[in-house]
Amino acid sequence: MGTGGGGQKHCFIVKLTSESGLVGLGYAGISAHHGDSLGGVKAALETYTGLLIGEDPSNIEKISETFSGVLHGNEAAQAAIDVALHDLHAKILGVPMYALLGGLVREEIPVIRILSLKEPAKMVANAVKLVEQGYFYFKIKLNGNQAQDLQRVKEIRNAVGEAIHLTVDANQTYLPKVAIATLKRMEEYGVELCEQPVRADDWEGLATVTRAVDCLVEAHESALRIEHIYGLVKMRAVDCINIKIDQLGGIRKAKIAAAICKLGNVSVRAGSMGSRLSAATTMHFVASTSNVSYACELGEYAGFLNDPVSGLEVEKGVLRVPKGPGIGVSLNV
Amino acid sequence: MKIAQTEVILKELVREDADWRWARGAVARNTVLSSN
Repeated sequence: MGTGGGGQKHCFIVKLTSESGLVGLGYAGISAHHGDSLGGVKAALETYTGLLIGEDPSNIEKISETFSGVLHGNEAAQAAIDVALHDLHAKILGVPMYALLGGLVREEIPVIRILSLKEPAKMVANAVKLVEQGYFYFKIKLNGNQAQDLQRVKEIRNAVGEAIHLTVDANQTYLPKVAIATLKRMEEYGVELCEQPVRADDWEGLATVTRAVDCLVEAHESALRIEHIYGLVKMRAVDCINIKIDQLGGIRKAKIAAAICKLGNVSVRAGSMGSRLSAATTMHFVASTSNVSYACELGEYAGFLNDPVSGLEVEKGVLRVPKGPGIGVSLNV
Repeated sequence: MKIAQTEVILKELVREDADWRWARGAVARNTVLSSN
């Protein structure tokens, strides 16, 4: 079976320093399975951050539109620059980043923790440990083997009890009809949401699954560009879109995507797989976006041993938006 | 207020769980139907 993941994850942190010494930070995660490469993102960031010297960071729309054209397909680099501009602009104004994004609609959100793909017994042990830490939402990674996946969900449900919220992420591993059969059998275990049951480019398959099952069906790998989100919403192929700011090209694009979803009556969730810098940035988006309607995976930074960013912690399974200027976290390098 | 300086920092984040995995569905499809 092909798997992704592993023990290390490369990322870049962009620092933009103003004439007065204020610093804006942006995060670029490297997702090879989404087309990123370490060298490609590095070259893009070094080339284009250099062009920002002398620019006014409040001109986010102008700068981002320019970079969106020349960095087409390089969403990780676009995101880091876009976020650093927002952070610096907010710090110059002395306000939290959410104030630039429409203000607060919520101050906190429950955190979904991801249960990495393993033998069922190990996934159960990880779930129990996280429940003891106060988490009450989980995303169970599946591998497309119906028998094994049903066993994973059944054993985790039996171990954590009925009060815990369970979701699953198939990472494109199912054919539509098998996804429907499997999700119907998972109904007895109270699975509330399934992320990306079928291949990313099989939008008709996604729509077929969405119409056939009780749980919410969500697009992630299908929804890595705002143009794709527009298409998915137009055909109402899913109930929900998972937005990852690092992968979509920044906060500006995430807000456009959320507006598209709102018009189409499709829910939004958000996730972060990187440093606290990425999670805190995403939390400002979540805090200022009204159609985020479910828990979000914003606690995965806790799995890293050497995150260089501090100032964000989950308490009792819930994350609160930082209230300091900008993103509100600190870089310690 | 203008941008005076830029910097790009590479960082390798290390996971506590060295075997943190997810399925690459688009690469290797092993979907099977279970009879039970």
